[in-house]
Amino acid sequence: MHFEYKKKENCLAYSQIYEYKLTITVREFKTHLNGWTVEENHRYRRPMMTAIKRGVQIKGILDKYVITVSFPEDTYVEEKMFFEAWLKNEEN
Amino acid sequence: MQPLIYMNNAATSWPKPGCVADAVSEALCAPPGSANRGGVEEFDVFEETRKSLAQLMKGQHYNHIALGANSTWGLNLAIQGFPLKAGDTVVATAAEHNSVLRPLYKLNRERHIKIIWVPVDAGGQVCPEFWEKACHTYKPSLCVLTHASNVTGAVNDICLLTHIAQQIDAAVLIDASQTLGMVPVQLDDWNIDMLAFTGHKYLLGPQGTGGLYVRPGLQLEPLLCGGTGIQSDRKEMPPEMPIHLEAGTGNEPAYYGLLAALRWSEENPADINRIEWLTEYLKQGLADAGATVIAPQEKCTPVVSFVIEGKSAAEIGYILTESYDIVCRSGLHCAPRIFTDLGCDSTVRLSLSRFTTEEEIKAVIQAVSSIMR
Repeated sequence: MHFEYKKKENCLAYSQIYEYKLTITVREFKTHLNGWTVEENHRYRRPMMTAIKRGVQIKGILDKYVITVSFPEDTYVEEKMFFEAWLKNEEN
Repeated sequence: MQPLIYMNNAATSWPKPGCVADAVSEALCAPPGSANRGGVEEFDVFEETRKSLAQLMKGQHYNHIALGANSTWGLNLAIQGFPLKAGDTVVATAAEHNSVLRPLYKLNRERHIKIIWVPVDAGGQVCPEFWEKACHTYKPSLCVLTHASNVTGAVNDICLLTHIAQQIDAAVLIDASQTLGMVPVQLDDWNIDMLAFTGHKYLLGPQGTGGLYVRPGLQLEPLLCGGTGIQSDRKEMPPEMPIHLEAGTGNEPAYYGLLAALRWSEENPADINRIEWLTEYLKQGLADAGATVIAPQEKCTPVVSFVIEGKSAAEIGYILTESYDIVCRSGLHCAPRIFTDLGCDSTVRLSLSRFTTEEEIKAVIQAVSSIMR
Protein backbone atom coordinates (compact mmCIF):
# COMPACT_ATOMS: atom_id res chain seq x y z
CA MET A 1 0.00 0.00 0.00
CA HIS A 2 1.32 3.41 -0.93
CA PHE A 3 1.34 6.09 1.76
CA GLU A 4 2.76 9.49 2.65
CA TYR A 5 3.53 10.44 6.21
CA LYS A 6 4.45 13.41 8.35
CA LYS A 7 5.19 13.89 12.04
CA LYS A 8 2.22 15.52 13.70
CA GLU A 9 3.26 18.58 15.65
CA ASN A 10 1.59 18.82 19.03
CA CYS A 11 2.09 20.09 22.54
CA LEU A 12 2.06 16.76 24.37
CA ALA A 13 4.84 15.34 26.50
CA TYR A 14 6.68 12.28 25.21
CA SER A 15 4.68 12.11 22.05
CA GLN A 16 5.56 10.26 18.86
CA ILE A 17 2.55 10.86 16.67
CA TYR A 18 2.57 10.57 12.88
CA GLU A 19 -0.10 11.07 10.24
CA TYR A 20 -0.29 8.70 7.28
CA LYS A 21 -2.17 9.57 4.12
CA LEU A 22 -3.48 6.37 2.52
CA THR A 23 -4.87 5.60 -0.94
CA ILE A 24 -7.95 3.98 0.61
CA THR A 25 -10.45 5.24 3.15
CA VAL A 26 -10.06 4.46 6.83
CA ARG A 27 -13.22 2.32 6.50
CA GLU A 28 -11.43 0.19 3.87
CA PHE A 29 -8.15 0.25 5.78
CA LYS A 30 -9.91 -1.17 8.84
CA THR A 31 -10.32 -4.51 7.08
CA HIS A 32 -6.52 -4.86 7.02
CA LEU A 33 -6.22 -4.69 10.79
CA ASN A 34 -6.15 -8.38 11.61
CA GLY A 35 -4.85 -8.97 15.13
CA TRP A 36 -5.59 -5.38 16.22
CA THR A 37 -8.22 -4.44 18.79
CA VAL A 38 -10.51 -2.25 16.72
CA GLU A 39 -13.34 -0.06 17.98
CA GLU A 40 -15.73 2.04 15.94
CA ASN A 41 -17.64 4.98 17.28
CA HIS A 42 -20.69 6.08 15.32
CA ARG A 43 -21.98 8.52 17.95
CA TYR A 44 -19.70 11.27 16.74
CA ARG A 45 -20.67 13.56 13.87
CA ARG A 46 -18.06 11.93 11.69
CA PRO A 47 -17.78 8.31 12.79
CA MET A 48 -14.26 7.25 13.68
CA MET A 49 -12.31 4.16 14.59
CA THR A 50 -9.45 3.40 16.91
CA ALA A 51 -7.19 0.35 16.81
CA ILE A 52 -4.55 -0.77 19.30
CA LYS A 53 -1.79 -3.33 19.13
CA ARG A 54 1.43 -3.55 21.21
CA GLY A 55 1.04 0.03 22.42
CA VAL A 56 0.61 1.43 18.90
CA GLN A 57 -2.67 3.31 18.54
CA ILE A 58 -4.33 4.19 15.22
CA LYS A 59 -7.14 6.71 14.94
CA GLY A 60 -9.07 7.78 11.88
CA ILE A 61 -12.34 9.19 10.60
CA LEU A 62 -13.98 6.37 8.64
CA ASP A 63 -14.65 8.35 5.47
CA LYS A 64 -11.25 10.04 5.34
CA TYR A 65 -7.91 8.91 3.96
CA VAL A 66 -5.69 9.93 6.87
CA ILE A 67 -4.82 7.89 9.95
CA THR A 68 -3.07 9.22 13.04
CA VAL A 69 -0.67 6.77 14.63
CA SER A 70 0.79 7.12 18.15
CA PHE A 71 3.88 5.05 18.83
CA PRO A 72 5.12 4.19 22.33
CA GLU A 73 7.83 6.65 23.36
CA ASP A 74 10.45 4.11 24.38
CA THR A 75 10.21 1.86 21.30
CA TYR A 76 8.90 4.24 18.68
CA VAL A 77 11.81 3.84 16.24
CA GLU A 78 11.38 0.05 15.95
CA GLU A 79 7.59 0.17 16.10
CA LYS A 80 7.42 2.84 13.42
CA MET A 81 9.73 0.86 11.13
CA PHE A 82 7.73 -2.29 11.75
CA PHE A 83 4.41 -0.51 11.13
CA GLU A 84 5.58 1.11 7.89
CA ALA A 85 7.05 -2.15 6.60
CA TRP A 86 3.73 -3.85 7.30
CA LEU A 87 1.78 -1.03 5.64
CA LYS A 88 4.00 -1.18 2.55
CA ASN A 89 3.39 -4.92 2.17
CA GLU A 90 -0.38 -4.66 2.46
CA GLU A 91 -2.33 -4.83 -0.81
CA ASN A 92 -4.95 -2.13 -1.42
CA MET B 1 -20.44 21.24 5.11
CA GLN B 2 -20.44 22.13 8.80
CA PRO B 3 -18.88 25.49 9.66
CA LEU B 4 -15.55 25.55 11.45
CA ILE B 5 -15.78 26.50 15.11
CA TYR B 6 -12.58 28.32 15.98
CA MET B 7 -11.78 28.03 19.68
CA ASN B 8 -8.03 28.59 19.62
CA ASN B 9 -7.88 32.33 20.14
CA ALA B 10 -5.36 32.09 22.99
CA ALA B 11 -2.91 30.85 20.34
CA THR B 12 -3.86 33.14 17.44
CA SER B 13 -7.13 35.03 17.18
CA TRP B 14 -9.40 34.42 14.23
CA PRO B 15 -11.27 35.88 12.49
CA LYS B 16 -9.73 39.34 12.24
CA PRO B 17 -11.64 42.50 11.36
CA GLY B 18 -11.72 42.88 7.57
CA CYS B 19 -9.73 46.12 7.73
CA VAL B 20 -6.65 44.17 8.92
CA ALA B 21 -6.24 42.16 5.73
CA ASP B 22 -7.02 45.27 3.67
CA ALA B 23 -4.32 47.25 5.45
CA VAL B 24 -1.71 44.49 4.98
CA SER B 25 -2.59 44.14 1.32
CA GLU B 26 -2.49 47.90 0.68
CA ALA B 27 0.90 48.15 2.41
CA LEU B 28 2.31 45.39 0.24
CA CYS B 29 1.08 47.14 -2.90
CA ALA B 30 2.44 50.56 -1.90
CA PRO B 31 6.08 51.71 -1.98
CA PRO B 32 7.79 50.87 1.32
CA GLY B 33 8.05 53.74 3.77
CA SER B 34 10.59 55.51 5.92
CA ALA B 35 14.05 54.70 4.50
CA ASN B 36 15.93 58.00 4.23
CA ARG B 37 12.69 59.92 4.34
CA GLY B 38 10.92 59.68 7.67
CA GLY B 39 10.26 63.43 7.76
CA VAL B 40 7.56 65.20 9.67
CA GLU B 41 5.11 64.76 6.81
CA GLU B 42 5.75 61.06 6.32
CA PHE B 43 3.36 58.53 7.82
CA ASP B 44 5.39 56.23 10.08
CA VAL B 45 3.36 53.09 10.77
CA PHE B 46 5.68 52.01 13.58
CA GLU B 47 5.40 55.31 15.40
CA GLU B 48 1.62 55.40 14.98
CA THR B 49 1.40 51.82 16.29
CA ARG B 50 3.52 52.75 19.31
CA LYS B 51 1.19 55.68 20.03
CA SER B 52 -1.90 53.48 19.78
CA LEU B 53 -0.35 50.82 22.00
CA ALA B 54 0.76 53.38 24.59
CA GLN B 55 -2.76 54.79 24.68
CA LEU B 56 -4.22 51.30 25.11
CA MET B 57 -1.73 50.45 27.87
CA LYS B 58 -2.17 53.81 29.62
CA GLY B 59 1.49 54.72 29.27
CA GLN B 60 3.04 58.08 28.45
CA HIS B 61 6.26 56.89 26.87
CA TYR B 62 5.27 55.52 23.48
CA ASN B 63 8.82 55.74 22.20
CA HIS B 64 9.84 53.19 24.85
CA ILE B 65 7.91 50.47 23.06
CA ALA B 66 10.25 48.39 20.90
CA LEU B 67 8.45 46.62 18.05
CA GLY B 68 9.49 43.25 16.70
CA ALA B 69 8.16 39.86 15.72
CA ASN B 70 6.12 38.67 18.72
CA SER B 71 6.13 38.39 22.52
CA THR B 72 8.83 35.75 22.41
CA TRP B 73 11.05 38.37 20.82
CA GLY B 74 10.18 40.87 23.53
CA LEU B 75 10.57 38.40 26.38
CA ASN B 76 13.97 37.24 25.12
CA LEU B 77 15.09 40.84 24.76
CA ALA B 78 14.09 41.54 28.34
CA ILE B 79 15.39 38.35 29.94
CA GLN B 80 18.64 38.07 28.04
CA GLY B 81 19.24 41.81 27.82
CA PHE B 82 18.61 42.64 31.48
CA PRO B 83 21.84 43.42 33.36
CA LEU B 84 22.18 40.23 35.41
CA LYS B 85 25.50 38.94 36.70
CA ALA B 86 26.57 35.46 37.79
CA GLY B 87 24.97 34.54 41.11
CA ASP B 88 21.96 36.85 40.68
CA THR B 89 18.48 35.46 41.24
CA VAL B 90 15.35 35.63 39.08
CA VAL B 91 11.90 34.84 40.52
CA ALA B 92 9.34 33.50 38.07
CA THR B 93 6.11 31.52 38.34
CA ALA B 94 4.99 28.01 37.50
CA ALA B 95 2.49 29.49 35.03
CA GLU B 96 5.11 30.81 32.62
CA HIS B 97 5.18 29.88 28.95
CA ASN B 98 8.22 28.35 27.26
CA SER B 99 8.96 31.80 25.84
CA VAL B 100 9.94 32.70 29.42
CA LEU B 101 11.06 29.28 30.68
CA ARG B 102 13.57 28.54 27.94
CA PRO B 103 15.37 31.91 28.10
CA LEU B 104 15.53 31.47 31.90
CA TYR B 105 16.94 27.93 31.58
CA LYS B 106 19.53 29.38 29.21
CA LEU B 107 20.47 32.08 31.73
CA ASN B 108 20.82 29.42 34.39
CA ARG B 109 23.02 27.23 32.16
CA GLU B 110 25.21 29.87 30.62
CA ARG B 111 25.35 32.71 33.13
CA HIS B 112 24.78 30.83 36.40
CA ILE B 113 21.66 32.77 37.29
CA LYS B 114 19.57 31.17 40.02
CA ILE B 115 15.88 30.71 39.19
CA ILE B 116 13.21 30.48 41.89
CA TRP B 117 9.79 29.18 40.86
CA VAL B 118 6.68 30.43 42.65
CA PRO B 119 3.80 27.94 42.60
CA VAL B 120 0.26 28.78 41.49
CA ASP B 121 -3.05 27.64 42.97
CA ALA B 122 -5.29 24.93 41.50
CA GLY B 123 -6.81 27.50 39.13
CA GLY B 124 -3.44 28.70 37.85
CA GLN B 125 -3.25 32.00 39.74
CA VAL B 126 -0.14 33.24 41.54
CA CYS B 127 -0.68 33.47 45.31
CA PRO B 128 0.58 36.88 46.52
CA GLU B 129 1.78 35.28 49.81
CA PHE B 130 4.10 32.85 47.98
CA TRP B 131 5.27 35.62 45.66
CA GLU B 132 6.05 37.90 48.58
CA LYS B 133 7.86 35.14 50.44
CA ALA B 134 10.02 34.31 47.38
CA CYS B 135 10.86 37.98 46.82
CA HIS B 136 11.79 38.64 50.43
CA THR B 137 13.70 35.38 50.88
CA TYR B 138 15.73 35.39 47.67
CA LYS B 139 16.04 39.13 46.91
CA PRO B 140 15.89 38.71 43.13
CA SER B 141 17.22 41.29 40.69
CA LEU B 142 14.46 40.43 38.23
CA CYS B 143 10.94 38.99 38.59
CA VAL B 144 9.07 37.55 35.61
CA LEU B 145 5.33 37.10 35.74
CA THR B 146 2.59 36.29 33.28
CA HIS B 147 -0.43 38.60 33.43
CA ALA B 148 -2.67 35.59 32.76
CA SER B 149 -2.09 31.86 32.44
CA ASN B 150 -2.39 30.63 28.87
CA VAL B 151 -3.57 27.28 30.26
CA THR B 152 -6.35 28.31 32.66
CA GLY B 153 -6.92 31.99 31.90
CA ALA B 154 -6.33 33.00 35.55
CA VAL B 155 -5.44 36.70 35.68
CA ASN B 156 -2.81 37.80 38.19
CA ASP B 157 -2.96 40.98 40.25
CA ILE B 158 -0.10 42.74 38.49
CA CYS B 159 -0.43 45.97 40.45
CA LEU B 160 -0.03 44.16 43.77
CA LEU B 161 2.66 41.69 42.66
CA THR B 162 4.73 44.42 40.99
CA HIS B 163 4.50 46.53 44.14
CA ILE B 164 5.72 43.59 46.26
CA ALA B 165 8.70 42.94 43.97
CA GLN B 166 9.66 46.59 43.80
CA GLN B 167 9.76 46.81 47.59
CA ILE B 168 12.96 44.79 47.41
CA ASP B 169 14.20 46.76 44.36
CA ALA B 170 13.60 43.98 41.84
CA ALA B 171 12.71 44.91 38.27
CA VAL B 172 9.52 43.26 37.01
CA LEU B 173 8.87 41.86 33.54
CA ILE B 174 5.23 41.21 32.69
CA ASP B 175 4.20 38.80 29.95
CA ALA B 176 0.95 40.30 28.64
CA SER B 177 0.62 37.93 25.68
CA GLN B 178 -2.67 36.56 26.99
CA THR B 179 -4.23 39.81 28.10
CA LEU B 180 -3.52 42.87 26.00
CA GLY B 181 -6.71 43.68 24.11
CA MET B 182 -8.86 41.66 26.53
CA VAL B 183 -7.82 42.73 30.05
CA PRO B 184 -6.83 46.30 30.99
CA VAL B 185 -3.10 47.02 31.30
CA GLN B 186 -1.87 50.16 33.04
CA LEU B 187 1.81 50.72 32.43
CA ASP B 188 2.22 53.91 34.43
CA ASP B 189 -0.25 53.35 37.27
CA TRP B 190 1.16 49.88 37.91
CA ASN B 191 4.71 51.21 37.67
CA ILE B 192 5.70 48.49 35.22
CA ASP B 193 9.40 48.10 34.37
CA MET B 194 9.03 45.90 31.28
CA LEU B 195 6.05 44.39 29.50
CA ALA B 196 6.05 42.05 26.51
CA PHE B 197 3.00 41.73 24.25
CA THR B 198 1.91 40.17 21.00
CA GLY B 199 -0.22 41.56 18.19
CA HIS B 200 -1.81 38.37 16.92
CA LYS B 201 -3.97 37.34 19.88
CA TYR B 202 -6.52 39.66 21.48
CA LEU B 203 -5.20 42.73 19.67
CA LEU B 204 -6.55 41.04 16.51
CA GLY B 205 -3.49 41.89 14.43
CA PRO B 206 -1.44 39.69 12.11
CA GLN B 207 1.14 37.15 13.22
CA GLY B 208 4.67 38.54 13.23
CA THR B 209 3.89 41.57 15.39
CA GLY B 210 4.68 42.15 19.06
CA GLY B 211 7.19 43.83 21.25
CA LEU B 212 8.48 45.08 24.54
CA TYR B 213 7.87 48.16 26.65
CA VAL B 214 10.88 49.24 28.73
CA ARG B 215 10.43 52.05 31.25
CA PRO B 216 12.63 55.12 30.90
CA GLY B 217 15.90 54.73 32.79
CA LEU B 218 16.14 50.97 32.41
CA GLN B 219 18.82 50.04 29.90
CA LEU B 220 18.82 46.63 28.21
CA GLU B 221 21.61 45.10 26.16
CA PRO B 222 20.25 44.61 22.61
CA LEU B 223 19.80 40.99 21.57
CA LEU B 224 20.40 41.83 17.91
CA CYS B 225 22.71 44.44 16.46
CA GLY B 226 22.43 45.77 12.94
CA GLY B 227 21.17 48.53 10.73
CA THR B 228 18.92 51.18 12.21
CA GLY B 229 18.76 53.72 9.38
CA ILE B 230 20.20 56.38 11.71
CA GLN B 231 23.62 57.04 13.29
CA SER B 232 25.15 54.59 10.83
CA ASP B 233 28.71 55.69 11.67
CA ARG B 234 28.44 54.31 15.23
CA LYS B 235 29.97 50.93 16.04
CA GLU B 236 27.27 50.06 18.54
CA MET B 237 23.50 50.35 18.55
CA PRO B 238 22.22 53.91 19.10
CA PRO B 239 21.45 54.38 22.83
CA GLU B 240 18.00 55.93 22.46
CA MET B 241 14.80 53.97 22.54
CA PRO B 242 13.19 52.34 20.72
CA ILE B 243 15.86 52.05 18.03
CA HIS B 244 18.33 50.74 20.64
CA LEU B 245 16.48 47.43 20.56
CA GLU B 246 15.26 47.39 16.94
CA ALA B 247 17.96 46.29 14.51
CA GLY B 248 16.99 45.58 10.91
CA THR B 249 13.96 46.30 8.76
CA GLY B 250 10.63 45.95 10.50
CA ASN B 251 7.62 44.00 9.23
CA GLU B 252 5.88 47.05 7.79
CA PRO B 253 2.88 45.33 6.13
CA ALA B 254 2.06 43.39 9.29
CA TYR B 255 2.29 46.58 11.36
CA TYR B 256 -0.15 48.29 9.01
CA GLY B 257 -2.43 45.37 9.85
CA LEU B 258 -1.88 45.74 13.59
CA LEU B 259 -2.47 49.48 13.46
CA ALA B 260 -5.73 48.91 11.58
CA ALA B 261 -6.76 46.35 14.24
CA LEU B 262 -5.92 48.75 17.08
CA ARG B 263 -7.92 51.56 15.51
CA TRP B 264 -10.81 49.21 14.76
CA SER B 265 -10.85 48.06 18.39
CA GLU B 266 -10.87 51.65 19.61
CA GLU B 267 -14.00 52.27 17.55
CA ASN B 268 -15.53 48.87 18.36
CA PRO B 269 -14.74 48.06 21.99
CA ALA B 270 -15.22 44.42 22.94
CA ASP B 271 -18.31 43.57 24.97
CA ILE B 272 -16.40 42.09 27.91
CA ASN B 273 -19.57 41.22 29.85
CA ARG B 274 -20.82 39.13 26.95
CA ILE B 275 -17.46 37.35 26.56
CA GLU B 276 -17.37 36.61 30.30
CA TRP B 277 -20.94 35.33 30.18
CA LEU B 278 -20.15 33.03 27.24
CA THR B 279 -17.01 31.77 28.99
CA GLU B 280 -18.97 30.94 32.15
CA TYR B 281 -21.73 29.35 30.05
CA LEU B 282 -19.13 27.12 28.41
CA LYS B 283 -17.56 26.17 31.75
CA GLN B 284 -20.94 25.32 33.23
CA GLY B 285 -21.98 23.35 30.14
CA LEU B 286 -18.77 21.30 30.17
CA ALA B 287 -19.11 20.65 33.92
CA ASP B 288 -22.76 19.62 33.49
CA ALA B 289 -21.66 17.21 30.75
CA GLY B 290 -19.26 15.59 33.26
CA ALA B 291 -15.93 17.17 32.32
CA THR B 292 -13.58 18.49 34.97
CA VAL B 293 -13.10 22.18 34.28
CA ILE B 294 -10.09 24.00 35.68
CA ALA B 295 -11.75 27.08 37.04
CA PRO B 296 -9.77 30.04 38.36
CA GLN B 297 -11.25 31.52 41.54
CA GLU B 298 -11.08 35.12 40.38
CA LYS B 299 -10.93 37.09 37.14
CA CYS B 300 -9.93 35.18 34.02
CA THR B 301 -9.49 35.52 30.28
CA PRO B 302 -11.83 33.63 27.91
CA VAL B 303 -9.78 30.45 28.20
CA VAL B 304 -11.32 27.19 29.36
CA SER B 305 -9.18 24.15 30.14
CA PHE B 306 -10.77 20.81 30.92
CA VAL B 307 -10.12 17.10 31.22
CA ILE B 308 -12.35 14.05 30.97
CA GLU B 309 -11.71 11.09 33.23
CA GLY B 310 -10.63 8.01 31.29
CA LYS B 311 -9.76 9.91 28.11
CA SER B 312 -6.51 11.60 27.21
CA ALA B 313 -6.45 15.25 26.22
CA ALA B 314 -4.95 14.16 22.89
CA GLU B 315 -7.92 11.90 22.20
CA ILE B 316 -10.51 14.52 23.11
CA GLY B 317 -8.71 17.11 21.00
CA TYR B 318 -8.61 14.71 18.08
CA ILE B 319 -12.34 13.97 18.24
CA LEU B 320 -13.30 17.64 18.58
CA THR B 321 -11.11 18.66 15.67
CA GLU B 322 -11.55 15.77 13.27
CA SER B 323 -15.12 14.79 13.95
CA TYR B 324 -16.67 18.14 14.85
CA ASP B 325 -14.46 20.76 13.16
CA ILE B 326 -13.86 22.45 16.51
CA VAL B 327 -10.40 23.97 16.48
CA CYS B 328 -8.95 23.61 19.97
CA ARG B 329 -5.63 22.72 21.51
CA SER B 330 -4.65 19.80 23.68
CA GLY B 331 -1.50 19.04 25.64
CA LEU B 332 0.85 21.18 27.69
CA HIS B 333 0.19 24.46 25.85
CA CYS B 334 3.93 25.25 26.03
CA ALA B 335 3.61 25.85 29.78
CA PRO B 336 4.80 22.53 31.23
CA ARG B 337 5.59 23.67 34.79
CA ILE B 338 2.00 24.60 35.66
CA PHE B 339 0.66 21.06 35.48
CA THR B 340 2.15 19.96 38.81
CA ASP B 341 0.10 22.65 40.52
CA LEU B 342 -3.03 21.96 38.49
CA GLY B 343 -2.90 18.26 39.38
CA CYS B 344 -3.16 16.90 35.85
CA ASP B 345 -0.69 16.07 33.08
CA SER B 346 -2.36 17.89 30.17
CA THR B 347 -5.64 19.58 29.25
CA VAL B 348 -7.88 20.40 26.33
CA ARG B 349 -8.07 24.15 25.90
CA LEU B 350 -10.90 26.11 24.31
CA SER B 351 -10.37 29.84 23.94
CA LEU B 352 -13.01 32.32 22.85
CA SER B 353 -12.81 35.67 21.16
CA ARG B 354 -15.13 38.64 20.89
CA PHE B 355 -16.52 36.97 17.74
CA THR B 356 -17.50 33.67 19.41
CA THR B 357 -21.27 33.09 19.34
CA GLU B 358 -23.67 31.39 21.74
CA GLU B 359 -24.51 28.87 19.00
CA GLU B 360 -20.85 27.91 18.76
CA ILE B 361 -20.63 27.42 22.53
CA LYS B 362 -23.74 25.22 22.45
CA ALA B 363 -22.24 23.14 19.63
CA VAL B 364 -19.02 22.67 21.61
CA ILE B 365 -20.93 21.57 24.73
CA GLN B 366 -22.97 19.15 22.63
CA ALA B 367 -19.81 17.70 21.06
CA VAL B 368 -18.17 17.22 24.47
CA SER B 369 -21.38 15.62 25.77
CA SER B 370 -21.24 13.11 22.92
CA ILE B 371 -17.68 12.19 23.92
CA MET B 372 -18.81 11.67 27.52
CA ARG B 373 -21.59 9.25 26.61
